[in-house]
Parts: sequence; C-alpha cells; structure tokens
Amino acid sequence: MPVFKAPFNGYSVKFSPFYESRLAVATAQNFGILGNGRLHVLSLPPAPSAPLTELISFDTADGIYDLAWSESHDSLLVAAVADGSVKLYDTALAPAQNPLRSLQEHTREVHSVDYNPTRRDSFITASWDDTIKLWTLDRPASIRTFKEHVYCVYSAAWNPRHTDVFASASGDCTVRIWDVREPGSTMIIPGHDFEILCCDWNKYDDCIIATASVDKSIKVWDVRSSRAPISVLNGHGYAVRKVKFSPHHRNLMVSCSYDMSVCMWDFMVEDALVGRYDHHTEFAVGVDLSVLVDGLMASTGWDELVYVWQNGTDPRAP
Amino acid sequence: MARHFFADKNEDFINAQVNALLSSLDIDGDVQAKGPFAGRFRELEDYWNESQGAPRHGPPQTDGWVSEFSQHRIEHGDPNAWAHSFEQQHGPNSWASEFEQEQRLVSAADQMRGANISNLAAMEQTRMLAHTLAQNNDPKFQNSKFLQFVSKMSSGELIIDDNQVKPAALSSPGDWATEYQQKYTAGPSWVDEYAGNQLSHGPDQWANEFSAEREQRPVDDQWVNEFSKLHVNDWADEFGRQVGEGAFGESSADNWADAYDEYLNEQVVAKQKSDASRGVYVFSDMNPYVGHPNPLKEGQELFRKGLLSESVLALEAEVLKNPDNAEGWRLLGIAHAENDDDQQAIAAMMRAHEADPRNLEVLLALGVSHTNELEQAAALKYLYGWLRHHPKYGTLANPELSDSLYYADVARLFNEAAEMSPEDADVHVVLGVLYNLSREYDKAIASFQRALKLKPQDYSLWNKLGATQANSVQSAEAILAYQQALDLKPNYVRAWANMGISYANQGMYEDSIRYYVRALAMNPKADNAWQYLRISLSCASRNDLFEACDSRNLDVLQKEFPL
Repeated sequence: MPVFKAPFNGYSVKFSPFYESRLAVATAQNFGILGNGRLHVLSLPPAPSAPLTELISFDTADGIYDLAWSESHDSLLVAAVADGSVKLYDTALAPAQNPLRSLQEHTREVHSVDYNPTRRDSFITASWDDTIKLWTLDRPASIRTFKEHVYCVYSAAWNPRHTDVFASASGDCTVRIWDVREPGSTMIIPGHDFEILCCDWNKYDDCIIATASVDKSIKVWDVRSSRAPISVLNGHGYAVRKVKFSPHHRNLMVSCSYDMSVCMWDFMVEDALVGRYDHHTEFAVGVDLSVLVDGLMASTGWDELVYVWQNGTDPRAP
Repeated sequence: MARHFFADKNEDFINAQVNALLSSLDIDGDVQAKGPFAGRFRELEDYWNESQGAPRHGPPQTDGWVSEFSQHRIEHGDPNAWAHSFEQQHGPNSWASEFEQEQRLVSAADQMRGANISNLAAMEQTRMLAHTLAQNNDPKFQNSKFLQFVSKMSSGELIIDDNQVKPAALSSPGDWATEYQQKYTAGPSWVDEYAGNQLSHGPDQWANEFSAEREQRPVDDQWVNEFSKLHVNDWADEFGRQVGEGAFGESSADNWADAYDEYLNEQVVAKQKSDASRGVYVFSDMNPYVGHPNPLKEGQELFRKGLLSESVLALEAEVLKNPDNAEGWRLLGIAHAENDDDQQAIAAMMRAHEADPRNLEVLLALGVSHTNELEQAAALKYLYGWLRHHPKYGTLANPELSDSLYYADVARLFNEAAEMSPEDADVHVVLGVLYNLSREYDKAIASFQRALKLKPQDYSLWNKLGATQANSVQSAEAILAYQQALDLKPNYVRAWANMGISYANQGMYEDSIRYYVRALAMNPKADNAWQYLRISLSCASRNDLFEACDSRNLDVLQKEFPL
C-alpha cells in the first residue's frame, strides 16, 4: 500500500474532492509543539506497491494543524496554522508564489478548517481562541465570528445537506450547532464529560452527528433528540482524535486515536467496531475517507507517515 | 510567527494533547456501550474530591492541563484546583522537590509547549506524561519517539528557545538525534561548536580534557562561594555608606538588613547541612538505565554530548552495578559539578577517591572542591597527593611532608613543577587554585592566564579566571572571562550564575537578576543561585518577587526578567 514519509509529524490528511489520486497532508515539526510546518500535496501511484509521490509542498513558519481542499477550485487549499493564521495555497503556482493569502485574525492556534461542500464558496475555521470564523475565498477578512464556546474549539464541520448549518466541538465539553443566518448557536449538546476533540455529520442523514472525545468514546447523536446519544462507541484505548462518517455508507465511520489505531465503526449494530488498523507507531491524529473512491482511506500520525489503503486491506502491505 | 518562550499558546498545546491523553487514562474503559457515563465518573470524582479538596464548579478556563485534569476529577472544577491540592499535599515547594527526586519522568504540568523548562510545573507535567506513556507495556508506546521527546524535555535536555527545540547541548545518539540535527536550526555558534570539530571542544578535545588531569567543577565552587562571601561584604559596606548618606529610608534599611541577616543565617544553615550530608551520594530513583548492558559507555557518550542529567542517570546505573568503578564515580562527580550541584559532585568524587586513591583527576577535583570550601588542610592534602602520584612530578614530593602540610611548601613544590614543565597547563591550574587559597589573586590570575594560553578552549578555565578576577574585585574583567566560557559552553550553568554575581557586585542588580534566572532556568536545583537571586531582588527593591523566588517560581521570574 502506498506510504509517504514526511519530515515532520503528521497532523491531518484530506483527499482532494476533484482528483481520485490526490491528497494533502498537514504536518508540524516537533509534534506540533513548536517549529515549522509543511503542507504536502501527494499523488497516489498507479500501482499500490509504489510509494506516494509528492507533487508540491509548502513551508510555514509554524505547524499546520489542519487543511481543507477547496470545493470550488481544484488547486486551492486552505491551511490552519498554529500561529493563528489561515493560509490559502494554490498548487498550480510555485511555492515561491504561495501562499496566496494569509488571513491573520484568530488570536490562538487554528485547529481545524472545513470547506462548505454545498455552497462551495466559504469555509469555517475553529481555533483555540474559543471562536469559529466564517470566511470566503475572495474576502480578505472573515465574514463572521462565532463566539460562544468557553474553551478551545477543536473542530467545526459543515452539514452536508444544509448549506448554512455547521457544528463545532470544543474543550468545554459541548457541541454547538450553528446556523450562519442566526445570531447565536441553535443548539447546545453537552455531549461528553470530557473535552470533545472532533465532530462530523452523517452524509446520508442530516440530523445525525458523531462526536469524538477525550473520554475514549465516540457518541452518535440525533439532533432532534439530543438528550441522549443514539449510540456510544467504545474501543479506543485513549482519547479519540478524529471521527469521519463515510461518504459511501450510511452507517460507517472511521476514527483515529492516541492509542495509535484507526478504527472503522458501524454505529447501527451492537458490536460496532468493524475494523481496526494498528499501523501507526505514534499517535494517529489524521484520517480521511475518499469521496471519489469507495473504501479508500488515508491516515497520518505523529510517526510522520501517511498511509493510503483500501478498507479491509492491510495498510502496511507492500 | 515565532513562538515565544513564554507564549501562552504553548500551554494550550500541551493542554490539548496531554490532557487528552492523560485524562483518557483515568477513564474506566469498561463502560457499557449504551447509556451515559455519569455513574462511573462520579466514582472517580468522589475519590478525587476526597483526596484533593473541595471541588468548585464552573466551566474550565484556559489553564489547559490543569483545567482538563481538574475537570476530570472534579466536575467542571476550578482550573487551579489541581495545583492547589497538589500544593496542599506537598507544600509550596513541591514542584521543586518532586523534580529533584524524579528527574526524567513524570508529572503533570501545564505548559509543555512553552518548553518552560524553567517552569517546574511544566517539567512535572511532561514527566507525568512520559511516565504514563512509559507505563504502557505495549511495545509501540515503549518505542514511541514522542515519549523520548517528552522525557528529554522534562529532564531539561531539550529546551525550547526562539521557536526552536534545542538540545541542551547536543542531541542524543541514534536516529532520533539525527532527526533533530536536521530540524535543528540553531544559531551558528551552537552548531559549530558541537557539530564541527574545528573548535577544540569537539569530542576528541573534550575527552582529552578529561583525561588530562583537569578538574573543572569543584574549583568553580570555590570561586562562587568565595566570591559570594566578598559579595555580601561589599554590599554590606555599600549599604552602610548609603544609609549614612541617607539614600534609603528607615524601613528599607531594616528590610535590607533583615534580608542580609536572613541570608547569613541561611548560609550558615546551608553550610551545616552540607557538612552533615557531604559524602552521602543520593541516587535517583526510577533510573531507566539500570539493566543497561554498558551504562558507563552510555554515560560517557551522553556526557560528551552535554546531556548532563541523562548522563548522570546512566553513570549512576554504572556505579550501582560496579561500586568500585572510579571512572564512573569521577565522571558522575564532574557531571554534577557542571550542573552546579555541588553536594552530589563532592559525594561522587569522594567515592571515586575511595575506589582509586591514585587517580590524578580525582585528586585534583577534590583539591579544588576543598579549596572552594576553604578547607585549606584538606585541599592541600589532595593537591599534594596529586603531585605525589604524578608520574612526572612525583619525585618532587617528599613523602614525609604529607603529614603536616604547610601551604608555603606545597606552593613552592608546584612552582618547581611549573619550572620543570612550563607547558603543562595542569600545573598552572593547580597553582592558580593554590593562589586563590592564599588570596594572592594576582598570582592566581597570572597562573590561569598562562594555563589559558596553553588551553584557550577550556571553558572551565575561563570560568576560573573570571571567578578569580571577581574575587579580586575586577568584576568587569570577570564578566569578559565568563562570556568566553559561555561562548564555549552555552549551557554552563555555573558561568551564568557567576555572571550574575559579577553584575551584582558592580551594583547592576537588575542585570544580575536576569543572569541568575537564566542559570536557574537551566538548573533549578542550583541552591546557591537562588540565594544570590533573592539578595539581588532585595537590592533592586523588587520585594514583590520574594514570594516567587521563595517558591522557586521560575515562570514568573522569567517573565519579569528575560535575558
């Protein structure tokens, strides 16, 4: 299976929505504690036994915690940088001409960025300064700032169906649902007793959302009856870092954790853990499922490796 | 944007990462797949509430780890609850004491990101993280590079400075080291000094330095201690003058006098303590090098690379295994000395002497430390022993003389030795030490300068020269010498502290504070430096920071007095 070794510790990996064989990886030096960062754009080889090749990479002065591919332009990327900036990159231009823009508004690290898949013109960033900001590609400043969380916001995700709705997960142990047309959050789900590190919407049911928490569990909620989760998924040995619903299967989702594993879950069955991959040798912090290829998944971790494999196969197989 | 040493954002990184990991550890994994967890965690909460003190409610604040942790224990607890309860249990100096006991691993802490090696709390936390990770038997965790990284940060081997992670001296061996070398974008001086072999402080030179009967550490003690005495006397005079001139109000005079009395008392007590406990070496517990096949070699390598704390552990493992290994004890003594831990240095050297009474370097080291302690008789005994066991100069020594040594005799003998071999730097060094004993500072300075002509790259020699100059009230020159020492060895804790002393001596208290703080940042265990710092704070009328100083709160001090 294709593998890529980055010079820095991996933080996030995302497949391109335009090209089946393209993906990008956000990395940070020294485990993201301090130092530089680098954004790699990689290409899958025609044969699975070949390694991933790097198309282009961009260096940043600080670690990159997350990235998002633009849904409107096939060569644009947004990077969430640890110095609080949000940077726009164009892979069609040389590194010297990049970044196209550096948006400096957040006062703390930007931990996640998500591009609106339906409207395609805007994206949201979640930061440790407790806020979420809404941006468009053409404007030099944010359009709106959502400030309600009382602690770091770790993740923000657009609803795949409703163009103006997104959810945010925070260290204040709540998930908030927002509508950009509304002044404040429309719902607060006190989902866990511990910090919530990630949230993601179900791609087939617009009311279902999953949350990944420090308490090692993933909870699946229906926002219509948010007092109790539909399902609680246990199995990770340490905090769960990311969770992502499958774009191809209604009930499937993938997660990665500090226990160094990547797990596949079916939240509708009793024995929810349907797959487990232990290929990383340090914290597994990034995972993604390809929208274009069913079953294709990628993960990255602090062991500086990026793996791309088909669900059901061994990521480390040659 | 460079991440500053003290940036708050650093805290949150650790908070995010470490908290996530650590708190997840305390969560019972056997909870059923459906239904809320509240019941389970309540048990844990109750337990912690009992052991930690009253919980407080409210959303966690940005003290990251602490909030996370306290949240975990105490529902939406106060961010500082953990810290407070810890203090309750262990006392305000708990951080320091914990740190002393368990150097590498352990402990919770707020701010790893800031690299705050200075911040004992951060060290504690990284140690706890490292400890926790280390406890996981899964080989993946055992081999985790992150664990190594954290371990090194917690022991101070890695420092974060100017948005770079720097090894305290050099990175450790192995892949991990090369990796860091690559990423390591430190300024030229560091790299040149350690990576290149152009300077004589390359590995070979260093080894030579140690094999060549040179003793650095204990001599430095002397300089510092001697100097500190003068230092205080000078201040007393100056203060007396100023009071006479009416520069201070009545109250401040009393405060200063009180501070001075306190200091003297502390000195006396410290001396008594050190007398009592001298010679008793205290081993670190939880030593990962125990069981290592060749800890001596490992220790030597680590020492060569400047990873003092790590090398101490490895060497301790060696002497635990082979209590008669003189070389192990000797190197251990030197490592402690460079790290400004006099007590341990002397204890280790004594053991080295027991193991090998003829080892010249050990004899020199002991001679020097006793000179530092102004124990003339003992110093002479060891220095004379050096002469006697020396293959070249042994003939000069009259065996009958050793029973009743007079300073004059010994000095004369060493002068003869110097005439015999004027190119032998060691003889000049010993002479310099002897002259300090007799307070003939000009002669001492001359001797050291001669030695420096022969060994200009010897950082400890520069320190000795500086200290001698400082002792003879040539503080401005002393600073130049210390600077040379620091240029050669940037993490030379003792030289940093000495710089502070020289500044203080010239009345530049603010500056002196900065240097003390820097020295303490590198080694929070340097007790004497804490005392000097306190005095400088007093002289600079910064009594507001006494508490920070007494509680050894380097974080606050560094923020106030960055270099």
